[in-house]
Amino acid sequence: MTTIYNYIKSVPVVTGLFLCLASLPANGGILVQCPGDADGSADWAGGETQPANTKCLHLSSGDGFVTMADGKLQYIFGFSNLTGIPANVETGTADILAAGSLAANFPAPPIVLDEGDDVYLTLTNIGMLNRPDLFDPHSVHFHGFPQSSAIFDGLPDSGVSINMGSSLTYYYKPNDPGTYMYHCHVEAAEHMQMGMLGSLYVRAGQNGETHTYKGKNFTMFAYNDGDGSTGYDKEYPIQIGSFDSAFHDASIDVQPLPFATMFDNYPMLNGRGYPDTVNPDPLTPPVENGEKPSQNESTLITASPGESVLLRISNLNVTRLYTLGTLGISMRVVGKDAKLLRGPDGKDLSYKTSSITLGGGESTDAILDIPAGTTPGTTYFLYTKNLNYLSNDAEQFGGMMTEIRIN
Amino acid sequence: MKRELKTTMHCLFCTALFLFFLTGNSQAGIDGITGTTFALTVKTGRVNTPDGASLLLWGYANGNDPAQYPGPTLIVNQGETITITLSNELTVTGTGPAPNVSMVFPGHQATSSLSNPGVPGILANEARPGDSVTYTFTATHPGTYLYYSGTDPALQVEMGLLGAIIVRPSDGSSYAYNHPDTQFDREYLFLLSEMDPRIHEVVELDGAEGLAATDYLSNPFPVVWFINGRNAPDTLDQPGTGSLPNQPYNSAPLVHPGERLLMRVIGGGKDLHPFHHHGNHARIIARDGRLLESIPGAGPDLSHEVYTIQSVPGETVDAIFQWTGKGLNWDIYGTPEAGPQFVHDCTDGDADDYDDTTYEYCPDHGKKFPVILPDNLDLAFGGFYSGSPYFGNLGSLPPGEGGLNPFGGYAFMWHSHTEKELTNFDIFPGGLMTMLVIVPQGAPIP
Amino acid sequence: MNRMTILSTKGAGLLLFSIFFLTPMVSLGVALTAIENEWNPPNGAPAVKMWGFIRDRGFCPPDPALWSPGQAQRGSVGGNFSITLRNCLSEPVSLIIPGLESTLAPQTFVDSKGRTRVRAFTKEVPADNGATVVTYTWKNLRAGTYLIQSGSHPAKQVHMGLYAALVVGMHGDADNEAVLLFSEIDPALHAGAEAATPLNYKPKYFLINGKSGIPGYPAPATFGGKPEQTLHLRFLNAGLMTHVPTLQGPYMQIFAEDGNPYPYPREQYSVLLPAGKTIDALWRPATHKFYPLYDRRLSMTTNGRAGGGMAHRLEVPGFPWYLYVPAIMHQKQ
Repeated sequence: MTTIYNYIKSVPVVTGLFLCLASLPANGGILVQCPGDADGSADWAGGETQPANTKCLHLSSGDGFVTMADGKLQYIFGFSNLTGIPANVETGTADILAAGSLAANFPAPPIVLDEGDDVYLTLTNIGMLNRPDLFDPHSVHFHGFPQSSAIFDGLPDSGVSINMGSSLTYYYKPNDPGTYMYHCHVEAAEHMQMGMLGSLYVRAGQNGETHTYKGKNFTMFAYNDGDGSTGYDKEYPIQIGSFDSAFHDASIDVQPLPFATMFDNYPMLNGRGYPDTVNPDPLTPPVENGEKPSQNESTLITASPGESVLLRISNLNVTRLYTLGTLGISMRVVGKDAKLLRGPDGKDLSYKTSSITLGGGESTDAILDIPAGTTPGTTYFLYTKNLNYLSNDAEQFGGMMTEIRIN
Repeated sequence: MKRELKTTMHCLFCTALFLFFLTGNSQAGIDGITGTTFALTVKTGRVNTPDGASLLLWGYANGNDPAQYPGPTLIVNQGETITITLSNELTVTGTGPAPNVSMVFPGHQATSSLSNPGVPGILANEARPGDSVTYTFTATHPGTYLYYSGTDPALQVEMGLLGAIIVRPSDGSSYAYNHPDTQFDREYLFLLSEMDPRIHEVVELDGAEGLAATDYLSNPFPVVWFINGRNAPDTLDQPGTGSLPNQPYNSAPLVHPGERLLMRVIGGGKDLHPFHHHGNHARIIARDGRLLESIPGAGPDLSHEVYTIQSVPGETVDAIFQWTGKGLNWDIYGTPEAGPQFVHDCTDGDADDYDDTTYEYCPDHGKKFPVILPDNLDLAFGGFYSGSPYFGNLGSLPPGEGGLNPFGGYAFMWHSHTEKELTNFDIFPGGLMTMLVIVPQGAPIP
Repeated sequence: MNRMTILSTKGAGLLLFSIFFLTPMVSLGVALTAIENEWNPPNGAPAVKMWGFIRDRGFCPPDPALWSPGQAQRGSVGGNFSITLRNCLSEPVSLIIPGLESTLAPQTFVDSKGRTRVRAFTKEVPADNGATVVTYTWKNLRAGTYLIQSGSHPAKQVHMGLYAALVVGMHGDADNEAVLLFSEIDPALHAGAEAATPLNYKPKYFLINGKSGIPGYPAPATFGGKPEQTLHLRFLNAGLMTHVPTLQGPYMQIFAEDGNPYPYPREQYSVLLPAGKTIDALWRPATHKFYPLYDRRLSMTTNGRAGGGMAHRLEVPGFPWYLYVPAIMHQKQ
């Protein structure tokens, strides 16, 4: 009997040819769409007028290099921020290609939005300079955005992704504050292992109001809590991630990609292993990148006694769950997956803990309430409780760890 | 990744759903067996993976039917006393005898019967080879549960001995629990699991004793991942298809806008899986078959919403998912600027902000699509793309593209966000993945 | 100076239960020594070199000892808890309790690239053959269950065995308590601990309260209270991997983690217990019998063989409870 399954197996070759033709570089052009912005810079300089509550961004997708904390050079795919470079002018294409080549960041530039914004994010696919054999399209998946549409979900299977040399503009109106994340969803197991990931969060509409919680006045809040219980003085996006160096090496060497044996050996926070996590500055770019910094996100947490520090923690590694915990101070968990921890009739579900466990695609909002009497100079720690991952590959005293310094 | 391979898989994936839609006579919802008395048998079978390989299965079977992965979903009613007789017809390679087998029922007070007690084991009484054991329990509480082997479960669960139990509440079969807030319009099972093929190969070639010389059981390294016993794209194939004789259950959720979809998510294997459901948040209303409520009868007042369900081995989660497209700030049903076919009204007679028939979110009605899409040549298209950004609309696409979404729905991937689990033996895409398709009101859902 | 109280190591719930009520709101302490010892696998495999804590004898004992995580230490709610530590190991050690607020004194070194790194989370006891002792104190204890761990080179020293339980207070509704400490052993990292990289941690033994089940034998047992009385279950994961303790049949009320009560208890038959986590739960056994409790990650394996491992039983004895001899004392290792 000819089964459905056997039938399916005989079909794909012809269809594959169509798809190959369709995804050759089309050079339809770079085009940034941003209301009120005439030159395609995704900002409003030189007499342009920013419409109210409008936010524009221009990201490129491409390749580049990063340095692991033990010195290992890693080839990556990634996003970089091109906002501010006029793209829709005569020199635009050349300028964008120059700025976006070998510019991949890890993690991707954090995206910070405000509740109720009209958000226009243009993705320009620059392509992989070190992999001229690849013509991969790319996308931006706004991970966790409620009530999404297929066209702007960034899922290539159910929508569209953008070919090399062209731009696609996504539109969203973030109605719900919280901690999200973004990543390319094309060939997700590969493109995400290769580094196309970043933090994304939406600030609450309640910001600017004053609410008093436990005797302290706050004007910034993780959520529209109505009572100040998610108030904070400082916020830090912290993205859990990890790389499998064998996979990255296979990619740059144009070897078969080892999906089945994928085993991450570089556990990181915001794209760095300890002690690079506590370096407050961008890391020195690898020479292979030219002068373009690729690891810009520090995870050094500093605060003063009495401050409340919001940790916006997300996980986008592709191989395992990680448990991330504190030492010396507890976390107050107020949000999960971009929702205030409250029941439907308002029951408070927030709780204190010393560690949280996140799989890929999960987020947690945790507040550190630094006691007012803390001695300046005190250091607390935030590190993985999977203690074997306090390693940069074989190198010890590294990996998924950072410091919380009280000044 | 090499173009040709991924295109091949892509097409497999799409065609499976296409056929699913076209044939249209398959049973949606949750397949299983009902009653108060069940006769299950443990025997061998094969788990087929989409790369053409197959793995030795030890599976539960419904009586004389083939072994299946997962075992038969037992659908019972609250308050009933359930009797399950388990017969051990397992045969094994090697010199040793076939092992004892058993069933455990977390969340239920199960006992083995006095008349057919089997032999004592570590977690439960067991059926010796060629023999049987009878278990009974009372389904005191509604909810989602699981069963699995309590005999050397590190080996026997890996080999396939696991299944789901659904207890219908006394309030009726459209409720998950005995509370109005647990009402649902459609329900789907997501039993998540994984296999380490090395273990199955050793058991097949040398018998289970061969594992003692390896670290496969102490440190399993699975490379195939399942929803309801299938890897994508087979998750979207027909239930009961002849090409998957030991994997009768599919996972192909379909829903209309505004309907309440009950997700019954079960961690069946050994690993945690972050199950990310594109499209919208879902509200977790119960864990381990217990409503998240502050006091009995309160309803799910301790429920909360997530965009990724962290599925824990042995744990069950019930969650309500609903999608309307609310607040996108453009009219997903199209505006007249896009063409005359998009002229429509949003009629909100009951003042709930939604159209009374289509469930369109009326405050977004008439708002233009906010950007200009690039030329088709600049885009790569998914097989589930309708060719149009508008809901319920079919647009024109280049030859060979899309076309696998006949009602112009919105498709969302539901998958493990441990993204390496989206592969079958090194081949992407596959694994722990399916597609939810939201189809317009009026489009048939089988 | 805190008053030193050497806790009895004798037994399970009953004894600790009375100590708790005799010593409310006071400072408690214990003197421990970190030494190299060994653990005998249940299947006759060669002994595994371990690092562990023993009660301090004032010097480094010359005789080798058997490793175990030991009895839970007990602190009192609102009081202080101190450990005075002697170090008989080949490298410096220190002590942390992640669930308790504390002031740390991190120890650092400068790497070859000039970057400062922390090698220990707090002050250390030097490796000087037991000459120096250091006292660690935690103040104003919250009720709960806590892990005591090494804070020095944690990627190595914790899996080597430097962990113990601390329990503070007991749930007001509880009549008895049971401590269930989960951990793992990867013998490959113990054979040549200096050379092996913890990143590739692959444990072969899975322990509850220091004991692996034995394939083909009844699982080790821990005192599980009395029928119709409430048992306070204290789960701790001193291992590096997630476990999912599961009670076969009944439900628990999970009410706290890391010493922090939840706003509402959670009713489950399974407990998500990630690395380093502690969970407190209540359970009322209905009748006298052995209740299976096991890891639903199915770490029910012993050196690669199916069976044993993290299989355990809670023993609710049927004969008069005041005659009860804790199961752990007659369980053969």
